[in-house]
Amino acid sequence: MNDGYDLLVLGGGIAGAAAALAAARRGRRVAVVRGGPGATALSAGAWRGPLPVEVGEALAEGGVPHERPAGALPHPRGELVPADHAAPAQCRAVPVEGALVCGIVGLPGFDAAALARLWGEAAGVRLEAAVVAAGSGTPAAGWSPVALAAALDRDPSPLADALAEAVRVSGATRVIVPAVAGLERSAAVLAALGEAAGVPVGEALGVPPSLPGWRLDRALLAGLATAGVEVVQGRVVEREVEGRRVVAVGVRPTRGDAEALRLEAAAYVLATGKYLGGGIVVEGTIREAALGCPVRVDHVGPPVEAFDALALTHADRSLPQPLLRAGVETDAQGRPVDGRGDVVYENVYVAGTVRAGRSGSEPGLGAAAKEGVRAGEAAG
Amino acid sequence: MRGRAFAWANLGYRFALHLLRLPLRPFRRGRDEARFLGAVVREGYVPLEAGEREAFPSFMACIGCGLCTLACPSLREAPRDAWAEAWTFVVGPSRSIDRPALLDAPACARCGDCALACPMEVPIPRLTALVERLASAAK
Repeated sequence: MNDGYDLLVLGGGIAGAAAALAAARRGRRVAVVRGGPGATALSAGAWRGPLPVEVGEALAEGGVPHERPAGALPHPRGELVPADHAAPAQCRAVPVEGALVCGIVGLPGFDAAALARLWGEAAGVRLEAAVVAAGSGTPAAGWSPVALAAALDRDPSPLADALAEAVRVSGATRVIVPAVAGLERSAAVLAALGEAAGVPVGEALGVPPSLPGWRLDRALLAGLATAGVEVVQGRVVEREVEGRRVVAVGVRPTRGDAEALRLEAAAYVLATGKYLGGGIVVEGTIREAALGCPVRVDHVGPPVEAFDALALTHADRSLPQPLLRAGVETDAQGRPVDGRGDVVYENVYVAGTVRAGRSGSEPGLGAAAKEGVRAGEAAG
Repeated sequence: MRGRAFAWANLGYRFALHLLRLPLRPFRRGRDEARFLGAVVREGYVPLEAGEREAFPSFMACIGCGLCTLACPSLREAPRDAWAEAWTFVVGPSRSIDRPALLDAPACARCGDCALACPMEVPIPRLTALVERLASAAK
């Protein structure tokens, strides 16, 4: 089915997508092997760090253009999260004087009165709070974010009417709602809400399953398709190696019982993520799953195969945990190295949280995207 | 001290009883099993089939991220009370859930979109089949 790609990207999160986009932009023939959504799809919606131009274009192409927010973004935990870029829905939720924090009847995890006080204190502004019903069809057990978002996809008008009334009563200058304004048609839903309310309506950041993260992931896929990047749904289960080069990989498709594919490429980007994405696996020993690169754990020293599990955690949970920073060590060009610092594969470039020293729990996206672009350019 | 002496004596008595009963075991097997199953079924538990037992460890990989609920077309079309916290459905077999209520939930079409969205590769359609079977068996 293929006579070889210029670049095969393993992993379709933000780092992998950025690598594929960067290489496609240089006219290379690129494919992405993607097991499923990973940490990128669980992001809250606050982009920290640089937004490479090819990634920004792809996100806009996918219907989620990113802008610079005027301030820190409100998180449903009650704090303000600094962000360098965010989708318009999140940018409109920057707390300003007289904004109305609007909860929804039956939706847990968003206490409007408490959040208005916490966000207001953090931003140094006065916020109003209200709780409105999203129509008469509130399920007896309450809304889940996805059920509410899907209901708003179908018909945003009951919530739009309720928001309009709440704005009329409070005289609010903008409205901050939980991140539930639509699953597939969020731009249209938010436009309808804003039009009815007569003021900007923004969404707070999301908590898993985060709709802003899900939309970001969908937008990346759409952007990859537009850029002419082929996306293969599956996971790498085999590799063919000649000397210090990966010649081909065997991919087991995620859907159904389809036969394993053999994909050949001149170069590879390893961007499979850490524990959530499945890039680093702990099963008795710790290993890199796709290409079998040596794994380095900070204070154990050189890349290891057998390890003492206790060496990977600090008893003090407030300290950075070595386990979260375990990963593939690279040389200056981003190629995987072993314990002696020798390059393991000359045609593989590593990007994102699969790398050693990068914690999967760090906020960001930007750093991974930048690394992805660098890897894509080096490999392409 | 007296409590401990009693505990040891009791343990010895039970063990002696156990040794005496050992030769009878082949004859009692069916009866004990029936008694056990009777008690368990009364509690609303349903024995797992061999294939389900085999697949169980893969079900337990669920980390409760909820991505499957975002991917499921059935959930979008017919959000119902039973699905309000749909990811409990995935970890459901290990928890106390209202199984008959799940029967009112929209039928799973086995499209597999949920499994594609699962970062931990939980075979969710197999799990849905299991929960549907348990729900109808407990009805």
